[in-house]
Amino acid sequence: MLQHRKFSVSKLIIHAIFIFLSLCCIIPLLIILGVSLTEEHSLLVDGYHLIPKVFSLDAYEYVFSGASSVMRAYFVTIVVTVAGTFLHLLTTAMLAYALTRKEVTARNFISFLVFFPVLFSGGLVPSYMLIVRTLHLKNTWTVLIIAALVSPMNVIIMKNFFKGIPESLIESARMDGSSEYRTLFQIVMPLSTPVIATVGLFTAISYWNNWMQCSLYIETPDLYMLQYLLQSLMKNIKNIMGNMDKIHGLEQAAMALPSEGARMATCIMSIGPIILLYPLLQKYFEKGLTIGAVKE
Amino acid sequence: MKEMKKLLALLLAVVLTLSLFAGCSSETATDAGNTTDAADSTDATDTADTDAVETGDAAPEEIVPLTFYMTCGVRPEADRIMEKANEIIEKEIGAHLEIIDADAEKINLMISTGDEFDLCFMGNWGGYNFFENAAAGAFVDMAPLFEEYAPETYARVPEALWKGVSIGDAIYGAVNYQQWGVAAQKGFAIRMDIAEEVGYDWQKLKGMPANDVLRDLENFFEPALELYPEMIGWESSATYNLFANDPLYYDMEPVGDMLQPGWVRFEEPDTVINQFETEEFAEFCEIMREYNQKGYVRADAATVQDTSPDRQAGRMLAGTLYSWPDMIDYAPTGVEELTIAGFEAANYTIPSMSMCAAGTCPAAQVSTTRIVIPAAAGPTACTAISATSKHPEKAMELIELLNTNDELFNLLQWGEEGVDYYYDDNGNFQRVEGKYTFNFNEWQMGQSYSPDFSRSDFGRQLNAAQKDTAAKQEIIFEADLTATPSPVTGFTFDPEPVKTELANCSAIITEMVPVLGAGAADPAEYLPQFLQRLKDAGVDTIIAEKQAQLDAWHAAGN
Repeated sequence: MLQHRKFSVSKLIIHAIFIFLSLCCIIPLLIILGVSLTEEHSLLVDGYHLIPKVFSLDAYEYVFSGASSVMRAYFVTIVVTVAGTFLHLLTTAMLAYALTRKEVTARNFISFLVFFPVLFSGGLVPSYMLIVRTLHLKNTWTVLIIAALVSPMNVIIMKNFFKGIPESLIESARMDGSSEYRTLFQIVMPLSTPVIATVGLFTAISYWNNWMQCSLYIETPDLYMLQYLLQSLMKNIKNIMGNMDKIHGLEQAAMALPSEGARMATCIMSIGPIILLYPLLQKYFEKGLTIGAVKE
Repeated sequence: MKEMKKLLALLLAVVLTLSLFAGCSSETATDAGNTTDAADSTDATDTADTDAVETGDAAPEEIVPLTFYMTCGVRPEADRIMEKANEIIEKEIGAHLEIIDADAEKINLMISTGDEFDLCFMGNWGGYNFFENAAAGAFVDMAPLFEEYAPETYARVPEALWKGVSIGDAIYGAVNYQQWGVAAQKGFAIRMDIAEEVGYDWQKLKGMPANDVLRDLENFFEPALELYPEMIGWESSATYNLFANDPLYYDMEPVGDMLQPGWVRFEEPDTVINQFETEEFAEFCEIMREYNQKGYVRADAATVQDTSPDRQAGRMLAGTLYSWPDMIDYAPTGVEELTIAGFEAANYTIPSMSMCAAGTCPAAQVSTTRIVIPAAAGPTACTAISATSKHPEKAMELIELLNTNDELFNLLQWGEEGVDYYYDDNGNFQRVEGKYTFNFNEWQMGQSYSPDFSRSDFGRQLNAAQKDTAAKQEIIFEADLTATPSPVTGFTFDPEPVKTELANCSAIITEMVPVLGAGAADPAEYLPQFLQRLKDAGVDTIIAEKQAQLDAWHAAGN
């Protein structure tokens, strides 16, 4: 053990490089936190500082001024993220598993159907028409979840991982009388925790950060998700700032708005609980990151 | 056994799928139920809505649901206000209004997919594409509806503005006439206290051509920057410079988009010119070069995007002025001397520089341009009725109601007095933090104009400043009726024939204009080069095409 503590130049350099890289990631975050806690005027006069020159919670007060709606949005977002990630993983795993089984006859055709939209997607207008006019999903919880239920990329990633599971294992399970579902959930899935963690994290983040679905399909404030709500708070400010020359009198309105600080406060708010996912899932990452990187 | 399992799996899949959709449809049903519940019509359901469609106005007791899409953001406690507002709307016209937040992108998407809605906000900026949508038949022609359903809405808006929202004889938008009026006169705001300190006479700038003003301002910047080196003389940025973005200062008007080549002079409204070839632009570039070398503009002005922090920090010595009348044309009551001491003696608050808090950074305001109604004034803010609306007449009635019923308008705009806002001891309007607000977007909802200004917070006119604001507004409203409308009002340029040239020129303009306009490059070398590149990119074809379209428009009797 002592050997490891020995001083060596190369180790020092490597550590220095990584400490530097870590600082590059952490300092901006801390500056955002600092700015969000600084009083607006001090921000303009003194500039950005890590430690606020004039401490103030005004920015958070602005963001929470519609406190009930922010809390409600947190709730909606958490429900959608949890349910969405679970369903997304379930569908993706089932689809990807089926696509690796040789017994599925239309395997190649189904694969083609899954991957085709990666290259040629329908675009915004047809999907809007489908969801609003055919499926009538406007203003529902469902639309927030199912609009992003399957991602071709994730199916590819999972499919490739499943391919690496020894065929003989699945065969022996089958010989012992395990049904297909049981094989998937009790044999394949427990062996696939790295890919599930990776895809799960991607999915959770994309559900968490999703505002597009909300801006297109949600019209009742009760179903607003956090990112959309925060974005909408910012949008008002930006809209007014950007069009001051168009509308007389907007200037008066612009003066009353907190901007820099509020922008940073929303940033901190939106990072929120999702950041806790990283340390939880970190142990799976090492293996997860090689997924798709090796082809046999 | 295997068969059985397969069957079970299939069954499971079917049930799952069905339950998914069953879930949705029941949710939509309850949603619709909620909306009608809010309408206070206890037994009105989905079917009642469809009934109303069929029977129309024949059954006045049926409440017609109307949806209004606009970019108003999240409004805290909106339910309480909407309930009160709908009491009024139901009583007056028998409709139920739902205001829905949607950005321009979504409104455009709803239009292109033929989604059903009744009203929406429209403009000719920020992605709203008023003309494009109107030309594509997205909106109801209001011209035949005004007389019966919205006579007041039509009557109070100057005729020139209706031309701005028309295509041919059809009117596609109800102009949201603003409490600030539309007639515009631009000028300059000078940091008053510092001007006094260095003995700079800003009053002589009145009516001067813009380039002369900029030259004269050097006499102000030089001593002022010596005293306050941390300040900035003149604002210029990658997205804004006085010439390219503010044609009125140079007595010109854009034909088509502002940043495209091809403007006309007010003096010669029938001839399209390339604005970058004018003497004015050449001189402007020279002045800006000088500004740049003497440090009167930010050194990074050619690349900086957002200058609002500079303004908010009170760093600007001078800036543009869009509000009018200025201090010379309308000196506030009791102020004889246009000095800080004069204002103090009259106990009158001096206006602040742009985006500075009241009471800081006093601004001297002086107008220099002519008074015009810009071509874009009409479609800047208007309300359109969707072609997919089942109740265009009711929608029109709602527009009229929003425009004429001050109680309703104020309720939607500010909430309830005493709950959402109040007037302080000085008679100034104050909002209650965290309570209902329309997010300063009232110009999306309707006309904020009213002869006695009772629609806005200036309504009380309790203190001197408010009285002066009202008096100034009266001057503006008078000017609205008499000012010369822009010579190209109602003309829309079709860019299709010269699309390639426009794209090429636009790339060059985006690259060069910020550099020249901020004085970052020597105009002696780069201006001829810029003009040559524009020529190579086909700028003359664009000018000729604009001229041809303008001539054809004139020939058609405009």
